[in-house]
Amino acid sequence: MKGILSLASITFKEGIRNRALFGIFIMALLAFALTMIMTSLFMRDIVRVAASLSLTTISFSGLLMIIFIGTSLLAKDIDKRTIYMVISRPLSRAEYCVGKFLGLSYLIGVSIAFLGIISSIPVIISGIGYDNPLAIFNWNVYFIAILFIAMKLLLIASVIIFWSAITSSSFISLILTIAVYIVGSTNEVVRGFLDQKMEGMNITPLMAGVIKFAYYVFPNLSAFDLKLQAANGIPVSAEYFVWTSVYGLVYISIMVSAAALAMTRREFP
Amino acid sequence: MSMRLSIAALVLFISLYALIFPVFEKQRYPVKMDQARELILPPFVVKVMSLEFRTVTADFLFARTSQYYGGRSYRPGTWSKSDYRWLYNNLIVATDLDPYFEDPYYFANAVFTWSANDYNNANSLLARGTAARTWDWQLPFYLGFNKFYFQHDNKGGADDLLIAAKRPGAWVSLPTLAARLYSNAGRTENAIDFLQIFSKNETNLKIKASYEIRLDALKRILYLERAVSRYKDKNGRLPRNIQALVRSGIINNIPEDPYGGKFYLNRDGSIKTTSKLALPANPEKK
Repeated sequence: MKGILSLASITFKEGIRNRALFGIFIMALLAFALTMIMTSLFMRDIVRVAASLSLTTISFSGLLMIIFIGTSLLAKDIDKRTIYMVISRPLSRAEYCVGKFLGLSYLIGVSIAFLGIISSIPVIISGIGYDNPLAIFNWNVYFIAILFIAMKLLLIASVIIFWSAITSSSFISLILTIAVYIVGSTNEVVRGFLDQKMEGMNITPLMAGVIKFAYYVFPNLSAFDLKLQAANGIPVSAEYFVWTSVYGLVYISIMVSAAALAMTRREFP
Repeated sequence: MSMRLSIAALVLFISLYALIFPVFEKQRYPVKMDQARELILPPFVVKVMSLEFRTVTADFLFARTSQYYGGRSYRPGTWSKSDYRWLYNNLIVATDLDPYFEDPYYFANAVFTWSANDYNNANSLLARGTAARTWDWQLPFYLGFNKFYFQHDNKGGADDLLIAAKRPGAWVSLPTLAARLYSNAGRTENAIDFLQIFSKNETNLKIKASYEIRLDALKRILYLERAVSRYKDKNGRLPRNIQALVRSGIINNIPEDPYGGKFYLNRDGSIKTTSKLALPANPEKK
């Protein structure tokens, strides 16, 4: 256990020292500043637009961070053969996977908390001096949406761990993770489309099978996307919050344990 | 030497860049305007392609649409049917991505009623907004107004007003207005009531001012209409023209139309104006 935690803290420190992280934060801060200018293009729902842009900035920066820094943190160990130093220590390979994941989670938590707090500034400022009695903005939903963005990033982090444990190149795990992200963000909509049975659309049984497979096997990332609710102040039920979190945690556990299994069976050249 | 050369090259190319940029921009402009019109994908495709960035895609679509409209509009007659169709389809996609977004409905109401005379499109978007934004009384209120004012559907308008009246923050006089619509009474008075509510709720000063002008015109029409009915009570028939009201001493003078037209008496006894309650096509040249 102690080994896992020290590996997690090393991973976190390595991530936070990464120059790319600095660049991503600068980009996010610029985007927050730009939000206040962008809202002038709109007529009435100013706070909604500010909230939607701010949440998008958090989510997008988080994605860049986790995909680029996350893949490099893990694959670097294997690419550069520093993993020999780690696996020769009294730390099992499964523990290595868990430790890496915890380190990434720590990095995600700290970064998203930082961005989340700053993101409220453009939302507050855009609301000043513009009174729209019809807007029902709700800070609780806003911060729940940020929490769910963090959860989605944790899910992607577990996918990164999984691919890194299987493949031998950081580039391949990067591409595969992006593919999972794209499928995960769209599988629910595509499945819904299949259920609607639109006219003039011929969907072969094979295609329908593939869509269903993608729906059950890939993570449903749309479930963690509460930007619409947060921007418009639509409340989210406690049950939804709990069960979506449980779904996410179970999926993460599957990914990390699959990665641990793949890692223990893996031969390093 | 090589440093001087590279500085000279840099200066040369930057000035060249500044020189060619206007030419490039001029060539680009028509292509850009064409491209802006081009892309309307079905809502489903946009939903899939925008991944998790749906709200921001709705923002983008709406901003693009309203900017494009702003760039080409305000000159009556410059917009064709296909322009409005494009606008409508964009707003449909935007409200499909985020049905709670207020701006597309508000914008659709402004564009499709007063400038496009396409009340069905305005109303179908307003009905969509009324269904999604269950806390918003203004959308069913606009819907009711359109049905009453443009489509002469008093009952339909009154039904929507009652929906609006039940929502939080709604104007207290809405049920009374609805009752008057149900009884088909006083068309101009009803229009004045509606416009007073519009004007009170408007935060955009430019739009508020345009409501005030319209309100002013309607109040003058109401004044003339009341004079006509007094004339009718007194003489048992409609006046031959509007000047007869002055000659018979019912009113002292005929008010001016704030839109620059002239009021006249319609055959059915209602008051109309040559301006049709619209500002002249080129408001700058007054």
